[in-house]
Amino acid sequence: MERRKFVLSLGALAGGGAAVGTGAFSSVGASRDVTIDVAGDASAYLGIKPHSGPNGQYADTTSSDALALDFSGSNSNIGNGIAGGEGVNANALTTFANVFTVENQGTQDIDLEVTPLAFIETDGAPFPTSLLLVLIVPAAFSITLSPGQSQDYHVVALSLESDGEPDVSLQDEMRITAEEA
Amino acid sequence: MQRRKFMIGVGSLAAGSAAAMGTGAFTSVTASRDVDVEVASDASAYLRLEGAGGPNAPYVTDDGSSGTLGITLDPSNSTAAGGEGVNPDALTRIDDLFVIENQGTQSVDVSIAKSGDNSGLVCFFANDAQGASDPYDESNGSTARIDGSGNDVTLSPGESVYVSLQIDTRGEGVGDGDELLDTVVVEAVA
Amino acid sequence: MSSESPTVDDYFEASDEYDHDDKSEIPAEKLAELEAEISALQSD
Repeated sequence: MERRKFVLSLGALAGGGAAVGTGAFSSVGASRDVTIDVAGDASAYLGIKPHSGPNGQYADTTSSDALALDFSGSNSNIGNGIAGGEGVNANALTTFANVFTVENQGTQDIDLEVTPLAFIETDGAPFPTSLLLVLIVPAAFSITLSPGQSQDYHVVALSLESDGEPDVSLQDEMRITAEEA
Repeated sequence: MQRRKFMIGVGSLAAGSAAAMGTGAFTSVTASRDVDVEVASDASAYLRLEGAGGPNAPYVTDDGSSGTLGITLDPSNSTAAGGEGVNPDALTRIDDLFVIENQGTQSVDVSIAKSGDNSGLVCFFANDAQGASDPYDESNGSTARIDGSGNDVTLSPGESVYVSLQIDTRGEGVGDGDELLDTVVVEAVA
Repeated sequence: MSSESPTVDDYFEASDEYDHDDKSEIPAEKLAELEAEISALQSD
């Protein structure tokens, strides 16, 4: 009976915070709030967002609020930021400056890396081969960002189409990795 | 009375790769993001290049709707009436051959760089609209030369120009079979 | 980072999947134009 009283009194203390005294207890069940929200890419701890300039329009968002680079007819910004274009010109070198930005919205320094930085698709035909080369161009390949610092990324696309018709396209993924520095 | 043990302590609450408690910093985040790039036909690409239709349409061998714009004024594209090229010792004008439209996101300066044996004899003029009364008069405010050093026209997103060609072979000594122009590079710079 | 502008080769090296064959399809003059564009972007 003595023991039971001990447990009951400990239970009363556990509601308010840490138990003190001899430190021995049979059990504690303490409920605490743990709140973790998913934030859209733009407001997450690793901020991945369209650049604030006009070419940020080429960065669209997925249904789960993640950023996607979309130089195609499915970009939802066509008609209100992208004046109707649905892809890069064939047999052309197109440069898009300042498409997206990665910002450290956490609380400590991070080493940031994006890979791959080069994507290439070909039609597999013998010379002349049609190809689409896309480069993601950062200011530096690997960079350390303090909280509040950001890195801008550009995109360069080279299309070579042997018959002038658009045949080669690219659907791939880039991996953005941030590690505490 | 043995209830579920609940551990309270720094670092033990990590859910996936989200924030750890205590220091308030994430240790690492790895995110895969889509990269989607299409090559569009010239008529629907960010720099739209498309045949303008109309009476000079036969000179446009690829109007850009399924591929890249192509203009051919040579025997391989002879007209129904038998014409195979422009006249020697003559001034030839071909109005409203193709359209250039900025279908991108930022204003660009558009110019045309030519290459060919006698490319200096060919001039490209941009006009605000089709059917200008004199598409070659640069003094009228809506016409501008877009080839040649320093010549360009600024197009904001959604803006377009109609391009007319002027070929002047007068006194140049070029005759049957001579090449004037082979390719052009249309350049648009923000 | 190095003060020289990266080459297209450097971009492939920095990418997980580096296929030598694919890159060899790119004409040399196009590589030069690409590298000029990269250099221009990074000097802003």
